[in-house]
Amino acid sequence: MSLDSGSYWSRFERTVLRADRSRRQLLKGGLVAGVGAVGAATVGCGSSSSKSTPTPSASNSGTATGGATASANAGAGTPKAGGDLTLAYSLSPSSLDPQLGNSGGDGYYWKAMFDTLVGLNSQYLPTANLSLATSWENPDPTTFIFHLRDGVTLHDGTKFDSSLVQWNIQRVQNPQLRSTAAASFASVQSVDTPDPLTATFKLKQPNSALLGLLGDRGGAIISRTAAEKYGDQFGSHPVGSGPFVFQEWVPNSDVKMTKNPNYWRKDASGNALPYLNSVTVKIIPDPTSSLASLQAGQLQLSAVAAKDVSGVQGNSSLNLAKMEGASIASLFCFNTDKPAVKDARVRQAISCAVNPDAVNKSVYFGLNSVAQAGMWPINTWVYQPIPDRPKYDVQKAKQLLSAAGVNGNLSVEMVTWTDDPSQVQQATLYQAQLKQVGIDAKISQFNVGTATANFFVNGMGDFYSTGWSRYPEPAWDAQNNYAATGYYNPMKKWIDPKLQDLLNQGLATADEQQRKSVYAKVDEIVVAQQAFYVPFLYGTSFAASTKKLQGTDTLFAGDGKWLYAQLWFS
Amino acid sequence: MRRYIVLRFLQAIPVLVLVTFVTYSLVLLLPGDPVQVMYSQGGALTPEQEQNLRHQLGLDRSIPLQYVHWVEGALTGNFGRSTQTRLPVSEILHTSLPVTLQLGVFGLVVALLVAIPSGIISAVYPNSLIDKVVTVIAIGGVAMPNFLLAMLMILFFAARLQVLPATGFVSITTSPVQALRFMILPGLILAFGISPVLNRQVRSAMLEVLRQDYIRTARAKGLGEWTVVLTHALRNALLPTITVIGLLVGQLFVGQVVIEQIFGIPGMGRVFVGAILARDFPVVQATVFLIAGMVIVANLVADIGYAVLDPRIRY
Repeated sequence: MSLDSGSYWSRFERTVLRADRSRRQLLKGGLVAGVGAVGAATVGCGSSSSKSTPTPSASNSGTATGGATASANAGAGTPKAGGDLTLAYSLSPSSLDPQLGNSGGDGYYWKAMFDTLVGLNSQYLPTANLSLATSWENPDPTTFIFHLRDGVTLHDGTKFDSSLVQWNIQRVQNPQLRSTAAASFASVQSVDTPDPLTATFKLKQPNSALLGLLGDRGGAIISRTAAEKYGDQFGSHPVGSGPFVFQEWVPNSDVKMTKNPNYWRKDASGNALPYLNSVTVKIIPDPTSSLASLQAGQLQLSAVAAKDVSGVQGNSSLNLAKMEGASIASLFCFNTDKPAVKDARVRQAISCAVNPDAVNKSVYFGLNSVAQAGMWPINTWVYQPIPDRPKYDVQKAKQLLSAAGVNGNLSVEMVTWTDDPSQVQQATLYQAQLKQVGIDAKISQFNVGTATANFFVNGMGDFYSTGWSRYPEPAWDAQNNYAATGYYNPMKKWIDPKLQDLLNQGLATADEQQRKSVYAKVDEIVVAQQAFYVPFLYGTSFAASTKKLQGTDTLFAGDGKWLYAQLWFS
Repeated sequence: MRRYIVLRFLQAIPVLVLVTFVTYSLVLLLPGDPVQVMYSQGGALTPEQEQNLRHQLGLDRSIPLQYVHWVEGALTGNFGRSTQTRLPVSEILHTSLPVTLQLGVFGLVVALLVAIPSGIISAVYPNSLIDKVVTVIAIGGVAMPNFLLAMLMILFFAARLQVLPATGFVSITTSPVQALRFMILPGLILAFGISPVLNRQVRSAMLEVLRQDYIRTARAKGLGEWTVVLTHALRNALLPTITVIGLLVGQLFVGQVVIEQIFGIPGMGRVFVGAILARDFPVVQATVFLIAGMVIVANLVADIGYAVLDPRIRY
């Protein structure tokens, strides 16, 4: 066969196509075609629902300031019971045991299966009709009396009563176990059980944060029978009193839960909750993949990264719900013992040199908001703007630097983490902005667990560029970040002697207004004067859902995690 | 032959020991320790709790002692417990290994089905259009990162056309048809990662063989071209190819680590990455041990296959 003669087409014909087709070849061709048909059938069958191609448009699906908003699917009709929800979340649970888990993403799982002694609403206010306690009293600063809800049974039939509450608190406090809430209950001396429906907390010193702390992990009530039966495997066999009952956890794949038919909570009209028959949380690490799964019809609810928000807004078959201030997207935490940043004016200068608005626009597509206050999250009772906190002002930054005696370039080390590309992007932007005032910031990056341990425990770096979760109770951040013994205080000493008194005052009074003014003073010191923890951007969390899913205005809990009890399908 | 197989298994033991030792050292070199890394976000432990936890996890013993303890356990099949979830490591592997194997075998089969025929055609019609097309695809496959290709295919086939699922996994024992649907995209990407090498290997081996005298003899005897190619040439060309396949099994797993993350497949790759990030020594050790064992076995099978195919080779 000579390949060089003839035109290209005739060569093609000779080399690719054959002039003679034998019967054997015809049969082979038929076999290939048959396999192709089987393949097409496999691919075609099982593909679900309507096909809609996303069309980018300029439409904006509802903006509101503050709180959780949904685009037009809140209360469109009366809730119907039934339906199975499949949603995606990117983090695996560290444990389904609410008291012993250690990951910030665990709330997406345990909040569906457990109730807390005190339920907090979206403003972080203790709310009786969300709580396992129907009411509480604070007769003196070191005593809290909780009146418990009658007739509540856990998923395995365990009765909810005061002895269960006592056992639960003791479990959290047990130093042999590893509850991260143990430190928050250090002030609880004992839980007394005068009668089955009354639990009395006796404290060693006043702690008005107790209600808020009982609304988080430490207040989750678990079944004693199940915990004793499963021992340290309870985290894979969770039993609580929540709206959904645990069915199965396939590691790295999904967590399945079904409706609790005996759930005590009812909606505003008295209908039984939850509406859904089952909830399956699929663990999909990549945000692009989980959104693609939503678009492919595999799920009905997915988180949306900032980069995909405009695509979802333009997609007429998806709804977008959002919560502003669901986290702190960007902050600096300074190690004030390090020589380079020892002077408060240098820290203030660094905080004034960065331009959070520019970072918001380029990294987060303008979807986050520039922080006007401190670490207390927006849309909570404790939130208030801090008028004289550091703001973007290059001139002021330069003035502060020269007042601090910095001539020429200053070298600093910024620690950050790599798990989320946004953190890396914003770190490089900050580096460039700092360069403009003569500060050379070297970036040291690790994955988040290592970065955090390196900065707070091993003393690496001058400051940490990171995000933060939204915590239900200001005392949590105050004790963990600002106190001398706090884990998240890199120097392990008081940044200002006045803080110790202020933190004690914050715990001593139960009056909301008084606490608010105390924490305003704490903010003044921590953010404005000392520039110790300086937040720059509050994060907005987005969730995309199919049009049939209703009730997504109830999706976001006070701490930004998701709740499924009041979702329903139209 | 039997003696050869036994010798090869004996040889594998020092290799495995060395692998576990190197893994252990590497994980130790990583900054951060398990307790620090686990409890650095979302809440912290009191010093007393931390000490108790370290003791429970056996982390307060000296490092050589921890390694020896692990080896002792491994010899009896007890790989210890994960420091993250306290689940027995063997249970974790038991659930994730079949997933990785299923996807890996599927990817390998697809790669073979694609690479070998195209390699043969490339060799039989060298420098033809089809050879050039296949070469371009092969080089493109090596050049393009697999996660990029994965993303593009997900966005196109799953999100836009909605004909295939974007994420997830179904076991072949549960439903073969559904399993196939979920494996098509990740399997194709995996195959795309190794078939270029395979294709080139088959092509060059075939070219080599087709030049031989005995091929000319076969043609002279009047045998049809394709009979010569498939019955006589291919068998000889496959010998070096089989060795390459054995080597590529390791590469397949590397590709799976990324693919499992993107497609949300609960396989050993994800377990492995998560364990490294959490400094979960028992899981990391066991996973590496298992993978090293599988690669050794795959290469041994390749070598034995060699001997089966070529009667002249006897060990």
